[in-house]
Amino acid sequence: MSFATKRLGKELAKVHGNLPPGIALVTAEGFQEWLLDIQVLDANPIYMGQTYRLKFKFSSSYPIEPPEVTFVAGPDRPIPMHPHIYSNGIICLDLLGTQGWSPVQNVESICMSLQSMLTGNTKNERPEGDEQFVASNRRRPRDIDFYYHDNTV
Amino acid sequence: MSKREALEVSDSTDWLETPLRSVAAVDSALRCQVCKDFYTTPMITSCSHTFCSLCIRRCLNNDGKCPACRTVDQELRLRFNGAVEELVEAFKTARPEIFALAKKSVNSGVTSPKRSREDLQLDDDEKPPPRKRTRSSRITRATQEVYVVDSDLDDGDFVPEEGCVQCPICNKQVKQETINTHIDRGCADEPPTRRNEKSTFPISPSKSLQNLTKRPERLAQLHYSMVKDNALRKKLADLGLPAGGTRQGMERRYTEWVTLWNANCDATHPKGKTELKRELDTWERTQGSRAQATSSLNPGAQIRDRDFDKAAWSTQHDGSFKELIANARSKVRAKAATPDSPSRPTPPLEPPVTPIRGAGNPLKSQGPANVSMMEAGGEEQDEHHPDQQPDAVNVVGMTPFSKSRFFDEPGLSNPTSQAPTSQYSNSIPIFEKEKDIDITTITNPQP
Ligand SMILES: [Zn+2]
Ligand SMILES: [Zn+2]
Ligand SMILES: [Zn+2]
Repeated sequence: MSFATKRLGKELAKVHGNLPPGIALVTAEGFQEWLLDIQVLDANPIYMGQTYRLKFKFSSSYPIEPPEVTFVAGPDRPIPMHPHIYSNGIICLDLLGTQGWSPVQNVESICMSLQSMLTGNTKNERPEGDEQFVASNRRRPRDIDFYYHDNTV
Repeated sequence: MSKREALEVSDSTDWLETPLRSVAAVDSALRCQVCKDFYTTPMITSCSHTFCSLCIRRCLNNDGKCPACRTVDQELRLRFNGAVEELVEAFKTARPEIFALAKKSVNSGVTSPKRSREDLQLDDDEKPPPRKRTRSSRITRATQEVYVVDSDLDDGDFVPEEGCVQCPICNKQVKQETINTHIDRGCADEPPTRRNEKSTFPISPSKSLQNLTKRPERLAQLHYSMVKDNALRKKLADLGLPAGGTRQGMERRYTEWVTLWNANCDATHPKGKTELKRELDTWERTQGSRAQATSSLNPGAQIRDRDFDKAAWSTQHDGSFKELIANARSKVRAKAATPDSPSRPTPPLEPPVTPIRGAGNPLKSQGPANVSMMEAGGEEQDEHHPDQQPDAVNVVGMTPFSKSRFFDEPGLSNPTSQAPTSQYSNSIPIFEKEKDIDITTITNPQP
């Protein structure tokens, strides 16, 4: 059994029983891709009453390497508005990049970080250059190097 | 892989379903934060964090930083944490007993694990708690009781990961939980063998047979830029490893072998070389060249290639995955049946939520750079931990040394010695890469 499978098995057992409020497992149909729903629990008007869906993709090197995490759109699952979230669901968060990732992080802690990233946001806007990026990007999220320079959020 | 291993999903939060909820913190503290399992050959870093030897070596190989605090560290500075290993082994042995007792008291409506001899003898879970206690033989009785209840428990955690280990003395496959007893008895539960000279690995120094052979020596990672293809092939062949595949595949295989080997050197009871080779083979199937994975320079490619790992993951693990889910669900049901159990684990069990650093725009000129990095293959290994700091910086305040257990590494066994002579430490820039200097850390936005 591979390292990643073993670790994800442990996370799954935990995720089934003990997820923090506002985070729910949707599907985990294997050890490669999981879907989770998150909600912002405080009264932030930008996100009130909405549920957002996250897609986790794991490589066999997880947790040495970060999972790929994106928001995915569905009938009642919009992509949350945020200056670090592109309209195609790609999230610009250093925790998810090779530099910011640490193997002690896990699915639950990522969800909580994203929850908190939304909770604290007051700007109802997309990142600068969103349209151009979404139209032209062919790279996978982890292959994109973001500048983590925006300290306004 | 054994079924039991596949089903091994227990967690520190198991205790939250029992009256012994405070044991959850003990259970959690004895687990590695990388693999979430009980420490296997615990090693302490320069920053005083402890991980399994294999886990921390993989992490340091990957980015040269402690997973817990992101301090730069080196494999050479890792030290075996013997006290933690003893704690883990003792707790793993005691866990099923404690857990069974705790569970039993839940089932029978008793809020404390104290049971009388009469009650235990009757072995009737529905029987109300007894009024009088006969203290004298309670513990013994309880222990016996545990073995009766044991098979009903949905708790495989005390079953060690590998199930069996090769005895370093007689080379027999021995249940991991009994290996110490087995060695203590001079391999008495098997026909005693005197084949020490045939043993691939010498034996544990902690036993009386200490002086028979030397411990295996750790291997150094290679400076791949200095090693030509043929030389690398020869090095692999000399180690008895597959010497085929692409250059990148060979480098990754060599790196993984050194990691497995060195972690095994740390172990109190090292496995045989055959077992290590099996592990390398598993790695090769799930992550190595046969899985068509690529190095960490290009992590996305592992998923981009939809054929990646399919065989290994789907065929091997779909069945066990379903069982994992069933297992997890039954735990949820068990929890639901315990009204006073919390919906969440207590705080110490949770990993910290990392402060968020936001980000702005994608770096537009990155494409070509990535390509050249990918094609260059082994560049990452060349500049092994690029942002590591010289030893002088790390040494302050923390002199990480302990008794060198099996063999001495030159320049390290003596705490007053100078910097390690490792290849890791040369020509390493003092400060972080320029790239990082541009990055402004954004603290976690507060509501
Ligand atoms: Zn570990
Ligand atoms: Zn640390
Ligand atoms: Zn033996």
